[in-house]
Amino acid sequence: MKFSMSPAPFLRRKRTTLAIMLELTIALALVWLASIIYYFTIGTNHGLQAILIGIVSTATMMVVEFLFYLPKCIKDGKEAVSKNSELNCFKETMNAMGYKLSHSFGWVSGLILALLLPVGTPLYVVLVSAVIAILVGKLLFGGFGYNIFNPAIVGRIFAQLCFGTSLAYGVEESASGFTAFTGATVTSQLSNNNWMTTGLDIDLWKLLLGNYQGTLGETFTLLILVIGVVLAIRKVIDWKVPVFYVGTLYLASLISGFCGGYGLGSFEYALIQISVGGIMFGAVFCLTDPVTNPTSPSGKVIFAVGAALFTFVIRYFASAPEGVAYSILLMNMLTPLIDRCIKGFTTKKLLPKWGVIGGIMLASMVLGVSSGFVNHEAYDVEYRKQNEFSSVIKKVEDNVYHIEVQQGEKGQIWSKVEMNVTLDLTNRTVTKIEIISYGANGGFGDALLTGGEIKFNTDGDEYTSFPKEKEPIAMAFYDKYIKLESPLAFDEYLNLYSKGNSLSAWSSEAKNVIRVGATYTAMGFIYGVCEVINYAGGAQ
Amino acid sequence: MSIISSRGYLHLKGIKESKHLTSDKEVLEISHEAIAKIYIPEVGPNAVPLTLNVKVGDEVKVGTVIGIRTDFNIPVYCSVSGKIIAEEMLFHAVAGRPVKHFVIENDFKDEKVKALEPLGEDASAEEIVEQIRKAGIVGLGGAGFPTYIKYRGVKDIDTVILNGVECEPFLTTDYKEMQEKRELLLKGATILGRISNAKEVIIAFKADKVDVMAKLNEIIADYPLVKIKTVKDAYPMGWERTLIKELTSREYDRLPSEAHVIVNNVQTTIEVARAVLYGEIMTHKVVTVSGDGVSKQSNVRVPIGTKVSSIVEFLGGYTDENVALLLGGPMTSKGQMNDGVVILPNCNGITILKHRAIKSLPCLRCGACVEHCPAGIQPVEIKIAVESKNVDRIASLNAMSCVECGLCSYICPSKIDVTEFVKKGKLQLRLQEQKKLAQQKAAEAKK
Repeated sequence: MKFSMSPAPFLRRKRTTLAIMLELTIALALVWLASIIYYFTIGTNHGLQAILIGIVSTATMMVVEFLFYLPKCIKDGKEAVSKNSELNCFKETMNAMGYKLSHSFGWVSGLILALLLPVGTPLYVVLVSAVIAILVGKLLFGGFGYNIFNPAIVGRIFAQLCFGTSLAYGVEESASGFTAFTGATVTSQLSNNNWMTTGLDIDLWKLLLGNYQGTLGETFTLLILVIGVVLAIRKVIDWKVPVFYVGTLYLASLISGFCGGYGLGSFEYALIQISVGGIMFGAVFCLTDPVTNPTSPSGKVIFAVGAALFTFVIRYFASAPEGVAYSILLMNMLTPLIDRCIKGFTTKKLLPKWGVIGGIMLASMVLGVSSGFVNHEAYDVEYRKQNEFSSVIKKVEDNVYHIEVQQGEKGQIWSKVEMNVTLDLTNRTVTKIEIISYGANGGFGDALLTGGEIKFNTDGDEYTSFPKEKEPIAMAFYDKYIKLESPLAFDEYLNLYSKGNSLSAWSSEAKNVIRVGATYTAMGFIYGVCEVINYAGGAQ
Repeated sequence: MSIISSRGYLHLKGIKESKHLTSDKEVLEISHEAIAKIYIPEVGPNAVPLTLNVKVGDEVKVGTVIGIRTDFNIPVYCSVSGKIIAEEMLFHAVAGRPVKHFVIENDFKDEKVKALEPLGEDASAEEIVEQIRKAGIVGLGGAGFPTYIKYRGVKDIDTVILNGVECEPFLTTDYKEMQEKRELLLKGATILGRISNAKEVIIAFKADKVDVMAKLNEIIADYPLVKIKTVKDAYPMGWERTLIKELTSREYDRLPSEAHVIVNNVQTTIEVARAVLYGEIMTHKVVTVSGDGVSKQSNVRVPIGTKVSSIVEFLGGYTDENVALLLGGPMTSKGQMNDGVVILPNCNGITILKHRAIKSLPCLRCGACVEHCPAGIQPVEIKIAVESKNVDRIASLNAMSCVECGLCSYICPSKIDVTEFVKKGKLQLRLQEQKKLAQQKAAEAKK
């Protein structure tokens, strides 16, 4: 009879670290699968590339771990054989290795790194980043449980810093089929646009479903959200971290939106801000890595809101559109400090703890206010400059005015409209508009003004046909404001234009016109009609 | 509870199944051959020595005083009648080392000496407290703290909580005794309420014990002072601090009396009623014998001083060559080195589990231990501080507040013995304290 003397408790929860990691692996695999399917719909070679990036990243990490642990495992194997000579040294070594690899969870970092890279990443970049991630990010710190930084993020930032130019984000159609290009992503577009959504063709649903190009995993916002909820319920991740992170960012963006003059549209604006740039992916899969988190509940919340603050700062005030990765690394670095500061009982001194959390959140919101004003102003000034109209008006006969509108600066003319406008001043309506000439640089504007007929531009070249049936909204604009089957009230034009004191507000109102790329022409046209109304004294 | 503080408890999965092993079965009476010899330790339940009243060769009866505890001046009684035939070194469950035990040959005559006289209805509080002391009643929930101390010179108490939560897996003795001796329980409750001048006496147990609830409710109308309250099925809901917080939303620093509360175990209450109303002392104890390491799981009524090995034999022996033998539940009890230990009044059960090797991984730092610690401390941070031998940090993390409930080790997904690390931390703190004292003394001596 032998009595076991191991310490209490003698019951242990069934759940193991291995089980938690396997559940996380399944979650990551689902995102990877969604990404593979999406890229296959673009082209077979891109689908294959998405598969290969995942395999190369994961395999590289496993191989590096294998090599790293090999000496130790051989030693263990030899030791086992020295105790029991019947054992096979090779077999024992492999057993030790199997245990070590299956409990080091290198594949999780591998998958996360793969999902953080864009589809156009060359495979050698994936390989080198994976080596750096696992070696420098994890093994040199002492392996699983001892790393300070999130290994995958280390690899991602290494790739960004060293191979930034070869990270091809998107794929586009060309003569030879689809090719990768290093063009604009949604995040870089937004970044160039001072993070204002105005003037960009951004469809919220598209963002949520992930039907656009970014890194492999980050785009499937809705999928990641659902997976995140499941993981949080299954206690694989701590719900507090993503909720406080995304929540703080949402609130700050919301305030930024209000200060940027979006009004109620701010809710959608803020939703767009948190749907892009891998915020969701980072929140669910990278920020929650428990090894690099503080251990106490209050520490975790401070960690999350701190990361949100850094993300906000980097995104809006620095020049890195992907601020998420940097903010995670920064907070990882601060984790030991946070742990250090939280002493005593977790159940006491809750008020000061909430104070710190609230303070950091408040700081994010103050930044939200300033970014809203700063970005909005910068945006307006920029567009006004491009937007300088000049016009010459002549009275042709009673109630008929001839106007030439030019738009552009420094000798460049971006659009030009010459027309006769007939007014009915008693009824305050525009009765007839006759377009005489138009166009400057061959944009869609020409077609917009003429209802889509094939016309010749000023150089005499045939203008590519304007796809009438494809742009019902542009046609509606033509029918309503130019064709004029019945007289249209002055106020229709004036209201439309009054918003156009800033083009940003105007074009967000008439955003559908932008879809055909005729913003300036449409703007010039409306400007012209309003000038005529003003000139004729119909403004009041 | 706030989302940034510890939840303080956890529902243990499978606890109901573990209790069902014994809860529906009749309490067995132990066979004569199993108690042919009874072993009474020559130390009290908390391992302090006794001033002995008897010696080898003496005839003893049920109620003979074996000795008086040197720490609290309360007697230890003999549980059977017969003759002391020898002294034997046996392992003591609480002391953790072998101590001398009297070996009493049981003559099964059950001759009694009247140890106490029953008190009348009009007995004063002082008389009752003195009766409790004379009866040698200690806390039967596990701690073995003398009950009369809690009521001596009592003041400012508004609530007495009778703890029948029994949050450890496997154990069902409270559950059994609460049904079996419901009248004694309610009478005892009224007595404790009276002597402490409390406004109410709460009998607390888990919400799923509907049959206990029904049985008590049938007769509770006769006991206006007593109320029944149920608590969540969570661990460690039976710990004083957690229970008081759950029932009264009060917190305290050191002792429950700071929160105007006294907590007693339900079985202790029953013993109080027996002693006060009938002048009877505690001789027998119902113990739960359960777990997958024993052939037959059941509650058994045994005289105090019965050897664990004979109880296990009575129930068909062990099921495995390598088992963990625990006096108490699996969460807090330490493994016994052998089965020669004897049943003490404050032992509620014997849990016998097949040996399971546990292989631990590096800490995932998931914080589950911090999130559930009932003491509200940070076990994982204490572990890190212990590993880095940072005693100041251990102190700043309030390691001393640990009650060693074992929840942190239980919940750890990496299967680390977190509780052991915290225990080590407490030890290091005590050592440092001693060192400081020694230095102070040395400094004073120099002067």
